[in-house]
Amino acid sequence: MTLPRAWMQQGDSDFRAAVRVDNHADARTRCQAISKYQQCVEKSIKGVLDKLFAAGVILQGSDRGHRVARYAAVLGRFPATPDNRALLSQMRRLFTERILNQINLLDSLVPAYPAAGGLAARNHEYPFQDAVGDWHAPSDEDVFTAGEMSRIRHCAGTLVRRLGQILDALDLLYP
Amino acid sequence: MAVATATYPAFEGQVRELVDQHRKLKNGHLHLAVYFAPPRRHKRDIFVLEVIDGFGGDVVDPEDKLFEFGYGSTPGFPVPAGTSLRMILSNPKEFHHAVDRDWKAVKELRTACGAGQATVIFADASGKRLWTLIR
Repeated sequence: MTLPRAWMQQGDSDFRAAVRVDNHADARTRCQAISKYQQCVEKSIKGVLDKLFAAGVILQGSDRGHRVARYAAVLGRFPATPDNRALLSQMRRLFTERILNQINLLDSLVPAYPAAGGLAARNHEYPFQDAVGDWHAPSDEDVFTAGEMSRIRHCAGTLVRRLGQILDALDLLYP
Repeated sequence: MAVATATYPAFEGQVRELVDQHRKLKNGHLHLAVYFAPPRRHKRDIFVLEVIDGFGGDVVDPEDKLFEFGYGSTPGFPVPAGTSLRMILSNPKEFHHAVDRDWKAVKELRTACGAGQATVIFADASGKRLWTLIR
């Protein structure tokens, strides 16, 4: 298996796990589902990035970071050709404002320790603080809204499916 | 030793087409686009700075680096062997921060500008204000 294929397969597995954990009747599980949706988005983007890197289309592959919004913006700004059926043009169309906004949101929810003197920001894994410094757990029922869940679910589902198709096509184009 | 031939400003037409495409994108309003040739970088490469609303979630890079990404030759932007398109992308908040703290990429941009090796391809009102910070 190639590295891009391994990324994509793992991203697909993350998505399946997220869907199982994503329990509409129990808001306390939303943080767990978001964690898996974020992993799914990160890995599927890294799969396509590493494939394009191996093909020489881009000059750098994925890095160790979990935040991928910048790479998504790069994939969405590929120089286009007049032929809208071209693969790279299809990739541009995938990264709509709606999708990029959700990737930005998922990036912002990756857990990170706060800077010295700063407040711990909302994330899907670690305790965090509100504006007045009170602590909350990501599994509190009111931390993530149903609307956020719906948009994140749509974003992850779209990306894992469409990026999987794009990787299939890239494998044919650049075996 | 072979000396690389500088490509600036030979790709201005292609860069204009690319920037024009990016202006039409609905995902991130473009404020400023500059085609430039930083003196200490690969002279065959094509450097384009774009400042875009919301890029990277409007986050300021914690490592004090503007995000740079290289493309090889693509059907939409063909380049000869040994040449690559290098996009430097930022958002207005980060760009202001980078100028205030004189990040490396800002120094390169200033040097290129001072040497007459930078062309503003597009700037809206906000982009023009950003560019005056460099000049």
